[in-house]
Amino acid sequence: MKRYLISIILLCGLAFAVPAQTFHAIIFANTKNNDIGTSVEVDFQRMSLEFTTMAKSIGYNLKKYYFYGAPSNFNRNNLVSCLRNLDCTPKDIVFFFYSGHGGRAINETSDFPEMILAVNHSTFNDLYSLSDVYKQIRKKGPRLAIVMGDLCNSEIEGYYKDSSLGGSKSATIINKGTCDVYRNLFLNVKGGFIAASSEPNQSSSCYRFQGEDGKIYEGGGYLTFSFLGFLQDYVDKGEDVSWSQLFDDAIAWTKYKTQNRKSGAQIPIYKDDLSMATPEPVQPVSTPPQEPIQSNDDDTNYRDKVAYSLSMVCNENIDRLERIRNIESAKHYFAGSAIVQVVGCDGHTIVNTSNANRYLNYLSMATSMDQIVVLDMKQENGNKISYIKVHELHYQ
Amino acid sequence: MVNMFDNISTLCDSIADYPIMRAVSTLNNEDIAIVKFILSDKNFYISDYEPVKQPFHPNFAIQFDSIAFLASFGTGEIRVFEPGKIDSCYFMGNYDSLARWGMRVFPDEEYYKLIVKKQ
Repeated sequence: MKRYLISIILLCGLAFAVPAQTFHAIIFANTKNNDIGTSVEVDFQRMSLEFTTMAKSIGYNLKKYYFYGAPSNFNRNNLVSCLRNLDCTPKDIVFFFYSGHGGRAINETSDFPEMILAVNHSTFNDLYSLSDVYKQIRKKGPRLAIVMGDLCNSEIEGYYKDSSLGGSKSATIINKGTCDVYRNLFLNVKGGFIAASSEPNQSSSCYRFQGEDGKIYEGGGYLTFSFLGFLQDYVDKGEDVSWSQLFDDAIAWTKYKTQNRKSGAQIPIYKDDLSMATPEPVQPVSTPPQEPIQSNDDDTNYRDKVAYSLSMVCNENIDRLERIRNIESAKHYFAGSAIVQVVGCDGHTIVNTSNANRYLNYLSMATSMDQIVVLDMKQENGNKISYIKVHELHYQ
Repeated sequence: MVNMFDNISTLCDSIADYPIMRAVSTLNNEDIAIVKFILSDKNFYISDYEPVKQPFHPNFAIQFDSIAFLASFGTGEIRVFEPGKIDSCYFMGNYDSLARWGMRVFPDEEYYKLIVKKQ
């Protein structure tokens, strides 16, 4: 009886500790496109990892709406229903990210482009304006709406808009300084911010770079790559930055890197509708793992379940004995010979490779670790995981 | 010589799955000589470039014997189809001259005037 009472008290305590605010992370990424899919996949993985860090750092519950991969998932209808069904409170934050093909109508009045929400074979009916997404999210009344698109803004031949068309390489280290940078970005402001990767009549390119090993790597889109790079740099330095400063840095870098492009430099654009807000109360840096909120996507839900199970082994807020006990439930997800690859913030630098059993033992003994993010996995027949790519979030 | 601007419902052919209207007019010898000159320049074909985030949507297709050239001014790319070979995609090195040629051949099309003006 006494044990039950303690459990109830503990559960109540946990319920009060979990903030009511939600960070709605919406991603539409054309990862299966024949021409740019590989580059978009990089954007998708890096942004989904960054969303976890953002939500964790400001103490918000993360709710994912991830639309990528097959045409049944990445399409215009899903965007329409996602926006229609988006339910947020005035304390919530909505971050919408798009990476894929885009363009603009010849008679377009907005500076921002339109997304092309079809995997490979598109028609004009697959288009949806980035600024309409921004307007619709703002209408839902969240405290902060960020809309960011990495796509072309050049004219699509023959497309006149019809008015009826709707329209670091290492593990992430979370410390007080890190959280302050994110809190300053998300909690000390309210309103909205919309950004696109190129000016009207400009195309956007996929960034490729040479690694230290001499190999050529896909960096994702120029805007996404520079945005994440500068954000992580400010976070590493623990230096506060505003949204406009962050994007000014990203614009300067993109412009410089694309100055010799045959079609001219690529210059991202943004519109800042932000104002100062009363700072939110400070959340503790390290908290127990957040039980995943159901997403629209089955793969994302499964990855979240695995990530939660691994986080229950590594999170230092969980009793050490409990962490060791949790190894058994985590083991159920893995095949006997499963390989675990740990990568850095950039999503491709391999920090560690191990087999699943050894990795789980390491997690149970780890100190100052907060949670695991699953970036990729392969499953055998019978759904057991044979390969998994993860990223670790540590705190100081 | 075909034009992609025209009403899609009149399409009756395709090249490599891209819908193409049958030739709407015959090119005169001067038009042919100009486009051959543009397309025969090796510097016109840039193979080392970063992929562009707009779908390849050809504005027009030109066919000489069995070799077809599809040009997309939105992406700035040209695709070359040769029988028995894998199709190749290039960035157009001299985009402007092909756009001017398009303006000459399709004088009523506002799109070419717009892109030439922006160069």
